[in-house]
Amino acid sequence: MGALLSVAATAQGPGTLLTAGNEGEWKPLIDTLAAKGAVTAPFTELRFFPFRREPLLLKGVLRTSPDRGLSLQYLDPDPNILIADSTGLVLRDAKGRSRAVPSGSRETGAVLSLLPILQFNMAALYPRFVVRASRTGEDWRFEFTPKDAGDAGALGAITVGGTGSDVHYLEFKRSSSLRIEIEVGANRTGTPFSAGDLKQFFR
Amino acid sequence: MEPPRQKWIARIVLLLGAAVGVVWLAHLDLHRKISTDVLDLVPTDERSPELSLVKNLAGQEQARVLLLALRLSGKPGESDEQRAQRTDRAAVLFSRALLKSPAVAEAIPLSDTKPREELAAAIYSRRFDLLLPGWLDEKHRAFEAAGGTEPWSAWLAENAAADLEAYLSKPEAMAAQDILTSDPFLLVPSLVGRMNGLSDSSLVAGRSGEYSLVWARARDAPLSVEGQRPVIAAVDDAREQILAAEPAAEVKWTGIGRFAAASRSRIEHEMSTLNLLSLACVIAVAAVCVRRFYRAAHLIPVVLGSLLGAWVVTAAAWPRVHILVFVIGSLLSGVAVDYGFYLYLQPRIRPGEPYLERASRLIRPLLASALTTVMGFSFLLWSELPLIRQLGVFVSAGLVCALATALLWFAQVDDSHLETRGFVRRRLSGAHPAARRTARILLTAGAAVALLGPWRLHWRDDIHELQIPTPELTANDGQVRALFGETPGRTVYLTRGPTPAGARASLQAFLQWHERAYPDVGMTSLGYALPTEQQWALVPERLSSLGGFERDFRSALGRHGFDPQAFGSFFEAWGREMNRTDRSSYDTLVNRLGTVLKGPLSSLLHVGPDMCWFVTIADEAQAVEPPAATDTSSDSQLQGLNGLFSRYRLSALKLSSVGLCFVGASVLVLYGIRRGIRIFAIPLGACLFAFGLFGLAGATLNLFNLLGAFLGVCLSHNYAIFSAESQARGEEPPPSIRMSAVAAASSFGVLALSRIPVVAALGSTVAVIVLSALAITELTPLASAENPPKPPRP
Repeated sequence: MGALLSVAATAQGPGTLLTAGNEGEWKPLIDTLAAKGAVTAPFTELRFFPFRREPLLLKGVLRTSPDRGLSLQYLDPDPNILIADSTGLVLRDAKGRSRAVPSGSRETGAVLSLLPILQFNMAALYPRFVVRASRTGEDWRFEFTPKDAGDAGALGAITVGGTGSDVHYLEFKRSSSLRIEIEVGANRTGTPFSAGDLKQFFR
Repeated sequence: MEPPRQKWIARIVLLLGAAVGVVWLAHLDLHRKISTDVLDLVPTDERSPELSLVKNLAGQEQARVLLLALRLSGKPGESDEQRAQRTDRAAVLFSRALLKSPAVAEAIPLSDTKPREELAAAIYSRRFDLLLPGWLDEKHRAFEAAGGTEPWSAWLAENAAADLEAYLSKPEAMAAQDILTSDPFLLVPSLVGRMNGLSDSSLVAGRSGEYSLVWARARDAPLSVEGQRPVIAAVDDAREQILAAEPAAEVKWTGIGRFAAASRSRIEHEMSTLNLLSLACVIAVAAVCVRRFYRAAHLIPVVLGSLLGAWVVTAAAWPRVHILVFVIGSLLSGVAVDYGFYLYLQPRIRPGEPYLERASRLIRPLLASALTTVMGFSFLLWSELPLIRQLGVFVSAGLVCALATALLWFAQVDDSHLETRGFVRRRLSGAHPAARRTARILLTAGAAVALLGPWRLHWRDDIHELQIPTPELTANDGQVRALFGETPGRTVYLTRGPTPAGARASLQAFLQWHERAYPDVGMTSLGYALPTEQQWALVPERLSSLGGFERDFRSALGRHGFDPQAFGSFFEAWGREMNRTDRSSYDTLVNRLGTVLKGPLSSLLHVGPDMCWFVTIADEAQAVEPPAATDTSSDSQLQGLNGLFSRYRLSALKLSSVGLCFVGASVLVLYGIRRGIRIFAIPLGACLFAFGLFGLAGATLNLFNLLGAFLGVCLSHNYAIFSAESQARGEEPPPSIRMSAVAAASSFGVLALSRIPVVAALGSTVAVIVLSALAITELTPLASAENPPKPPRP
């Protein structure tokens, strides 16, 4: 948590504004992040609500697949899985019952935004977000601010930070009292998902 | 030469009858008189709840819904999102174009979120009325089941705060965070979770793949003419307007009116084709079998007189007659011509024998066959099914008119005898042992079929078989409905009741049954947004027992990590609720929710003066029908109405059995026990043989096979009577039996070609029975012939 706050503190400031075809020194990093294959990493999520004195702590495992999208497997306090892919969002409960939510609903907004962000699909992100990038030593940070006022109100700003080619934290921030911080643990890459994993954790 | 007085009287009576009939028919508004609504085939006061629901549905707004899907081709360099937005804009224009037609009452592009937002806002603002009663009831049951010592108010406060804390760890909590401080009981988020079925469908997205979706409602009911052609024209006009702007646009649409219009036009075509073909067959049989075939034209007035009489009597007896009666009524051509054959082909016993003398010899068998058949068909008047009652009257009236027309027509022509060709009169001799043996083998084989085959019969009735299938429209309907989220893995249930309270109580019973029968299957119903009448009535009592709840809940929120001050809006609303005295009636509560439902959402709930219903969507391919006590039917149950029609079949079986007993008894009275049994054995044997043949062929029969069998028995009973009369006079059976049977078989064979399954069933059954009866009539004398005496030895 200390590392997370440290990175967040040192990343103040506007950073470099990135636009399509104008990524400059950031291009190699973006290409590296976009070219990552399957990733598995543990995560710790803090949900801050204005009506709670302490944030809510959730733990789980994050999986991204270039073909199948993003899967957030929550383990604690309640086991369930969120799957975001090109056709929308799926909520899967502990009994394995799935509920599909088509894209476009408010419920899907934040998680569906995560998919192109974690895949660093900048072509899909530039039309929707103002993208700024900054760096402190080995640590880098991208901030995505929705261009649409409605999206900005619903999602707030999204921040992705990391070191080298690994993502270490994510933040969805509507206000200081209403935000989600996700600390991502050691990234395990290069191992494709088994058929069983794909069935269990993706659509 | 017949006496002029007799001829003129016959002509005047015929002309008068024809003129009255034609003038009466001409003054009718046939569009209003003749119905193509399949629901007019069943009783208006039908007690089956499924049918009442279907009839109610057909007349309500839900049946007027049109589902439309629009797709545009992509342009070079256009992204998928840009194309989707362009399609959405075209869908808005398409909706506006539809609304220009007076035939369309409502048209909404599903990308328009206004109806959903209005419903959500209404439920949220009235959550204490709509959702709190059910929540309190559920919690109170849990409290009683827990059996603890804690006071109810403190228990509820602790339980609600724990639920709220647990909810925050769910994925959907972030989307609901804005309303949690005003809805800490999670009334609205819980309802949203239960309405998954709606969000799974394309109703939320407004799009499905490359299609933008439009929901519309016609102004008139789809089974009326006004609800068909003008609506089709409105869609065509709107399509033209879109095509003018987007030449590569594709529009798919479906609606009940589209099916009804296609069915009407096909049945009208079928009716004219079948009637003409049937008449042509009868004329063709006559032309082949008689000398100077042009004289067979004398049979046409008999058929026309019969049909005219049948139309007039049936149209006079009912305010609306289904077109299927007239389609099946075309069979009268083959039956009515019988009397013409018997009179026209009856040979003179001496040259110059007057018509009256010749007719008087035939009058007994003619009256016996006609009147017993008429009386048999009259029993169908006691049927529950209007179609069967109308058919009974149509056939009875037609037969009486055929006999009267035949007697009068041949009374006014000079030469009322038509000679048949030789081959029609030729008969096999029973003198040859091989002929006798063959006849006996055939009769024995037929008896075996008659005894064994019927046990293998299967019966099934489906209301769809009353109409001509339209596979292309059905396929299109499936495609469009799939775009709107109606997939095969889901079942739609309708729960009914005479009042909103009754329907909601039945829905409660159904939901409880469904949760037991399919524990892991999700369900969506607007009923979740309404308390039962009992829950609504208990609210004042429940609230009065929660006097200290605000204090308890503040403490519980604090214990679970919440800041109670943040929930000020909730406590303010709770205070107002506790002090509230003006609670509306339950009916008003439901009606107010009903008025908020717009567009596609209006199909979720219906509140009418006589019937109310709730729609439930379950994520399962339905396998078990809900218990009758739940007053709930699945869509498949409503579409087929198999159970209901099976009941009608049993009712028709009873009536036709009574009718047959009456016909048999009449024959026994007229011809004595011994001859009567021999006469009646022929039609009965033919009927059993036909059913045996169908059973061995693995056919599945329906109500109309049964009606066809009844008609076939009555027809073949005529042949048996005429055959017995000839035998009594020591004569060979008259050639008119053969001609009559072949004419009837060919005319019913034409019906067997019909694309309406029930008409084909009726036609094939009668044709097989008639031909079987003819075969029995021909083979019996052969098989029972005695060996000729051996020539004396020289």
